[in-house]
Amino acid sequence: MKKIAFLVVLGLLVSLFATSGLVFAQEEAKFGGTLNIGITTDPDSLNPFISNDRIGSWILNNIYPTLLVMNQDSVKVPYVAEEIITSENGKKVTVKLKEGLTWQDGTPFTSADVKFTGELLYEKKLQWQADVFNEVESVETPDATTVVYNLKRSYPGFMGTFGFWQRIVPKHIFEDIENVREFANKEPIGMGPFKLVDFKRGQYYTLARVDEWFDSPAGKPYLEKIIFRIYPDVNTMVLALKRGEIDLTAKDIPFTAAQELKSNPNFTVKQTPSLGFVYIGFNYKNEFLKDDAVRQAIATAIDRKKIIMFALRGDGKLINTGISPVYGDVVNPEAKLPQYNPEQAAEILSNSGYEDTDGNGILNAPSGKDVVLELIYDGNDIYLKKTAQILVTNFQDVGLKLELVPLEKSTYSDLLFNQKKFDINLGGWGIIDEASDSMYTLYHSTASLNFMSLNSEKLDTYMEDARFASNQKIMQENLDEFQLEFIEEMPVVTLYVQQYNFAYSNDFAGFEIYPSDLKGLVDPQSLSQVYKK
Amino acid sequence: MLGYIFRRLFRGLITLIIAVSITFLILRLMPGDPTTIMLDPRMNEAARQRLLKEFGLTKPLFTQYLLYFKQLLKGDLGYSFIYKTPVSEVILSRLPWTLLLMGLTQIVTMFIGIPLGVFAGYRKGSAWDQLINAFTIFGISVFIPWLGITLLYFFGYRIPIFPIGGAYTPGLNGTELYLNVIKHLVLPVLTLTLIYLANYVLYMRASMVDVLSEDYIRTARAKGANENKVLWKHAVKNALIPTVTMAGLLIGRMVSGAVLTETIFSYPGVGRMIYEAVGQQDYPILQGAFLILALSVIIMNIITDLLYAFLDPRVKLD
Repeated sequence: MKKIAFLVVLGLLVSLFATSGLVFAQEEAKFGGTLNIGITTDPDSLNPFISNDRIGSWILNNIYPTLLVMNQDSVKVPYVAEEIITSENGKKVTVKLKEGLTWQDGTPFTSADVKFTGELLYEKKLQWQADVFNEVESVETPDATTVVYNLKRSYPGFMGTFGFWQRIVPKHIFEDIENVREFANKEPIGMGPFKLVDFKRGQYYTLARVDEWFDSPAGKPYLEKIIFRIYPDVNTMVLALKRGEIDLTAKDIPFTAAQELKSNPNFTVKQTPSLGFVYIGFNYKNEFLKDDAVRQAIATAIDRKKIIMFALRGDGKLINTGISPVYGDVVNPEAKLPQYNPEQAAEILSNSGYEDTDGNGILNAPSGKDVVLELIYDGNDIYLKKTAQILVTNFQDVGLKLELVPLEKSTYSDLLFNQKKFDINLGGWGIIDEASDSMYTLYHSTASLNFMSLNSEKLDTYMEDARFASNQKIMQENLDEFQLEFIEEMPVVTLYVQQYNFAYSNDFAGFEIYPSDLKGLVDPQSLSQVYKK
Repeated sequence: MLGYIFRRLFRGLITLIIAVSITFLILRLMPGDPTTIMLDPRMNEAARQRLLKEFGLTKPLFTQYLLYFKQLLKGDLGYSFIYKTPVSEVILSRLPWTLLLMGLTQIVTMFIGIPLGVFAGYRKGSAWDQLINAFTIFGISVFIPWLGITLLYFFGYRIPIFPIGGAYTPGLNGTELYLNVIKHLVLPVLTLTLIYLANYVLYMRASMVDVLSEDYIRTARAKGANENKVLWKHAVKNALIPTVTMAGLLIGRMVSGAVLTETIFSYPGVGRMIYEAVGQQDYPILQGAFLILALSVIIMNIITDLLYAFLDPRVKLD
């Protein structure tokens, strides 16, 4: 009994200290100050429909809202939506909006804005996400804060795509614009923690805080201004940070710079995983690679831990299936890529009739030919370059010859995407979200991004069934099966998920780090609570 | 004289048309197209085809070419694929900065390079001559990004007297702004000057060596003219003529330096715009940029020729 009492008292004391710490931290936060953020180039557009690059997201997501945002665990959660309700058969998606929000010109934010945004997006096909509206039968707005989407069939990826990627625009402004596609939007009226007050192309974009923002702990952002300043060269950007010209890098910084800044007491370095992954893909049109045994043997021969340790100097996570561990809930824990085991890899090959019959150190296929394969990759990417070198040794250890073909990025993309002329490609995907949708666009036999020419009936069925599953459970069951079958089929070997480093000056505090270089430290959820010490 | 100018302008126009056509073709011969760079699992084939159509890249090459010329005749440089704004607007926002940077570099290089060349040529073979030669050869051989980063590291970070990047610090006004602009110009101008100095020094030196062995110099000296007068009035004035030609041609070459220098120093000029547009295969921006460049080289050539005739009475334009 005494023990319990002691623990209770201890618990109370700890929580008291914790709260006082919290109060103390909050007291420290004060209003004012300008945060200078380093970016690499101009945003592609200030038009929230048209912008489709990272820089556009960094700036525009602080000005225009999305229904959903990603939390620190990579889960999409309501932002200006209060909640999302999906009917049992999955065909009706109801969005309840937060009440009392207004656009920066004082006009109330209503369901009409959300409905209008989707309609304009779809009608003019303004962005890739317009295509999710192919599955929408009708849209209703029963009241000012409710939007109901009636879908033709259940489509779990619908809200995750539209809600997360599409910035909502004010109807009263955009309905009067004649040509939305060419609308430069130089004086945006949005709804977010900040508003754009000044910009000079090629130089800077200045945002000022708004007077009221629901997501800021103090009711409005602490920072008076944030200025995005352009430094095209990342080494110069790091120098500008050290010098104090900028206080934060929106772009991820190289490993060496991160190491140096970590040991500098004036800076903090935060790390966040990519929402994509790096992989090698096999071309099924290749006479050796169409053999299941060769793909399995290669997967077993690759030392992925070594790649992370040496090519990424530890800044990476292992990935075990086709889906990134960043989306923990969706990954099937039973699906696992083979462990690194060169002896076993050699055995797989020898059991399938691969032997070095001519004694030149390279295995011969049952057809008698030497198994020589070419690896294409973007030669300017330092991480891929180092990864490729490790792959050569891994292949060599089991008697396969891998020849490196480093290419300039557009040549690489052309060979892969247009000509499909390669044996193995080493590349990465920047952002893969909505697994039920993206697995389909990458691996379905009809998908344009299926450069491998993979054609598996089993995989196709799982992907189709997951994509249009009537509920989460059915979707997950199909994704689980997909992942198991994916390991059996091995159309690609997923290598790693890169960890990005971002640095900020300790003159500021309150940062939160969100997944990937799309969000990092400049997500509106983070910037709306940052303050100058 | 007028006839000559007219003929030169006509030839300039032909050159421009050829330059524009080559640029048009080369860009389209690059592997892939602007959408392959955007490869993204979120973009399906239909969305990709929509983009290609929007960019006007689904039409046959010759039709694209004709449409481009038709557009040019209307004074329209097109619409940037990436920035979704008129190319002329993007270029105009960048051009003043490049003109400022290049103009200043030309002036500084000329004011340092010509006297150095004169001195080296006059003292041919001396230790000074060799030192100047070595220095300028270093400048011409150095890798621009290395020089830029080194200067930034020492004078922007270690001894923080100059800013790291940009054309000016946002939020300044009046005199403060002008001073700030000048501060931002120092390191990029220094980099470009170190690199282009050799052109003036070596040209001027070689030209001086030639001129100093001419008969009229011996005559001048024989007349008893003092050495300073011989050097500056008789020798330098004549030795300048080939240097003027070189200065005109240097404009074209300076662009390559601008691409790298503006990128390292985050300077918002046309050079950096080209660097960014190449990475994104933004054809209209690149076409617009090269059109402006070709035009400025052609105009500079015409001006140089006229100036040449003015400086050297032996040259008859007609």
